[in-house]
Amino acid sequence: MSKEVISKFINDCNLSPIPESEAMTVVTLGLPEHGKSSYKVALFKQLQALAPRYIPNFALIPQGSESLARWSHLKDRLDQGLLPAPTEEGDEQHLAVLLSNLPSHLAGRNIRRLVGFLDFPGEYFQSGREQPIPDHVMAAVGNCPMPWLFFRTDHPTTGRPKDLPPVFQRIVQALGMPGAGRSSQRRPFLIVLSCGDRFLDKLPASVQQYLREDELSELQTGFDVAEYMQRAEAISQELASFLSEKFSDIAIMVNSAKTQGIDLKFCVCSATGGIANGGKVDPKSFRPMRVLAPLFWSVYFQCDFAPKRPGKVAVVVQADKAKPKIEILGEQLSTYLSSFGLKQAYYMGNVRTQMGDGVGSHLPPLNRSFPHLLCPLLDPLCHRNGFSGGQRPDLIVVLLDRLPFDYEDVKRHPLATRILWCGTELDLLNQLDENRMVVRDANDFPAVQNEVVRLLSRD
Amino acid sequence: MELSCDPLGFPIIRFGERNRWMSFLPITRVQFEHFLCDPKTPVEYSGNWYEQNMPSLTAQGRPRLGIHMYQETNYFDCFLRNLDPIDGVNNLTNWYDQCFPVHLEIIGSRLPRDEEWVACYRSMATQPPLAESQLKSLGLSWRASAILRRLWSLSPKWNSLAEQMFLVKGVFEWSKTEDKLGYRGCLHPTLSKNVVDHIDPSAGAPRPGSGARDTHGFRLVFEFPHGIELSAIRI
Repeated sequence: MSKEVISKFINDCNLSPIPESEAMTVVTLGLPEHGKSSYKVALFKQLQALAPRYIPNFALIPQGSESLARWSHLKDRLDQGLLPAPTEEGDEQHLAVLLSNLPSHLAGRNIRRLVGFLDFPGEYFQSGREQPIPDHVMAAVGNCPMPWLFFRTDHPTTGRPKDLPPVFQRIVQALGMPGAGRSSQRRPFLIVLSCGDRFLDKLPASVQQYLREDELSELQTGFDVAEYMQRAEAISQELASFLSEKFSDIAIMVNSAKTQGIDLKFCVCSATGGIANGGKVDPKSFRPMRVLAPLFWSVYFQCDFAPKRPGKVAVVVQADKAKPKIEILGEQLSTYLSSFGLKQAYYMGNVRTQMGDGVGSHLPPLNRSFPHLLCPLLDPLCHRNGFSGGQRPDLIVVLLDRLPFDYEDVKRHPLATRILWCGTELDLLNQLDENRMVVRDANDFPAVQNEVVRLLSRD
Repeated sequence: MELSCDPLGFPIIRFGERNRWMSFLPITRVQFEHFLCDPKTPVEYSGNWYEQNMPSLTAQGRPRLGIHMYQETNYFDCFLRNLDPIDGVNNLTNWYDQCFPVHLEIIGSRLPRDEEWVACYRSMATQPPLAESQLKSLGLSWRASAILRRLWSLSPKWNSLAEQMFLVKGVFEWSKTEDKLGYRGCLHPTLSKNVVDHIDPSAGAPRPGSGARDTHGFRLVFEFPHGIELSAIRI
């Protein structure tokens, strides 16, 4: 699955067009029978338990017909006392869900999250396997802000602590240098120790207590995400130290991750709470333990991780006489970029509207806000207040079907390398030097989205 | 002699005894483009106004020159021409006045009076030209620096500050005598076959004139109350 195909998957699941939401992907990796599929059903069950007691109005809504069918299948199996069947090659059970009304102190401005759960067969990650990890898997990992690697220490054949580092290294090697191109921004990667109930008594006391606590009870009113994440960080450090002290292979893995620019985190959970028996569970005694933590780690990093880290500012500048198809693209892009810290959108030559910090501010069409046409100039926008209240934008997306009068000057402007030119005419774009894209209509939004993410990821 | 910057980062130079400053260069089209794109600009300047009123400065018919394209034969394209010296300049000066920070309490900006223009010319004609390095700490905007660098690179040798300020071989420049409009300056030969020098005050009153003309530009004078200090460098 190339980047384009992943974008299509997200798009097919109606992730991008839904306003006021931010799309994120969760990629679950790990050896066969290490708990990835069981975790997924436990997470969904736990999320469903959030409303109305813990997070009022919270809702988990599968997106698209395929996700809905898979979701129903998971629920039916659980009702029958069966855990999900292992994911098989050629039958990847990706799921897209909308998490609605997340607490704003956790999710920031975007209290709706469209989450694509990308689940791959464990066979891909076996260290003895001759075939490399497929490209589509690595593309998904590469695009995921915080991949999760599941590992269970009680697996009879692949659960020894020394079995973890080869899987991790296999993934890291397939990724190339994960830290490359991100400079000081370390890439987060989460190791999920699954089936924690099986080795509970071997863990440090504080981790045991953490795992035993009812995680839902923490989410009552007054829940402090900073405290929650501080505790998750403390548990991560404790697990890293504990495992490194006990197992030299893991100590080497942790150090190697640091040098490769990877911010390795650890967490521990149990999907069933220790009641599983040969793939069967009693739905009534099904008691997930700390399964929300990985999701919260991802949501947390989604707020903080480049390219969406705070401080990245993008602006959209649209030609004043743009064709309707470009206008639609502009609307989509503005909505999408509002989750990146888009402060303002412009018509070429003038401010289009103030975006403010509100969630999903929508842009009025030109003829409502400005009854007259505007002068097609870009440089004055770059100068006036440095764009966006004095903060120089990291990216300026210009949607146009004619060049601004002053494009010769803009090409040499200090901000020129931050401009992405999107136009409908190839001849027109050929007059520009770099970062140019031919767009036809709103169907090209995923491609523009990919380019935006790439450019915002630059330092 | 003191240099400072206008709100767009273009240089202005202090002249005379009072707290009065004049544009170092004739007003450039880049400055005017900022005016055109400001939400506070009167609605009459929107839409196709620029193309219709200043075709030689926009992309109509020929490429609008980028700063790097100025040559010996076309550099006057850099300067704003063809703006109505009464209404057009008034609108521009009203806008400029709003752009200055409030604490500077600007009294107002306007066209230079004829005697101010002449006095400025006489004073600058006796001053040596500036080195580019002297402007480094001035805080010019990127575009002002680019324009100055390009314009100054066109001549191997400047004889005086007046030449560097294009008081000579620039455009005719509007000035005022009481309520009448006139113009001074020395036109670049490419702009007109009849090269007439209107600089020397001994030639008498400025040439009378009115209405937008393609050979006429202008500078602005910015006046501040006594005791108000602009950030400036001494040269």
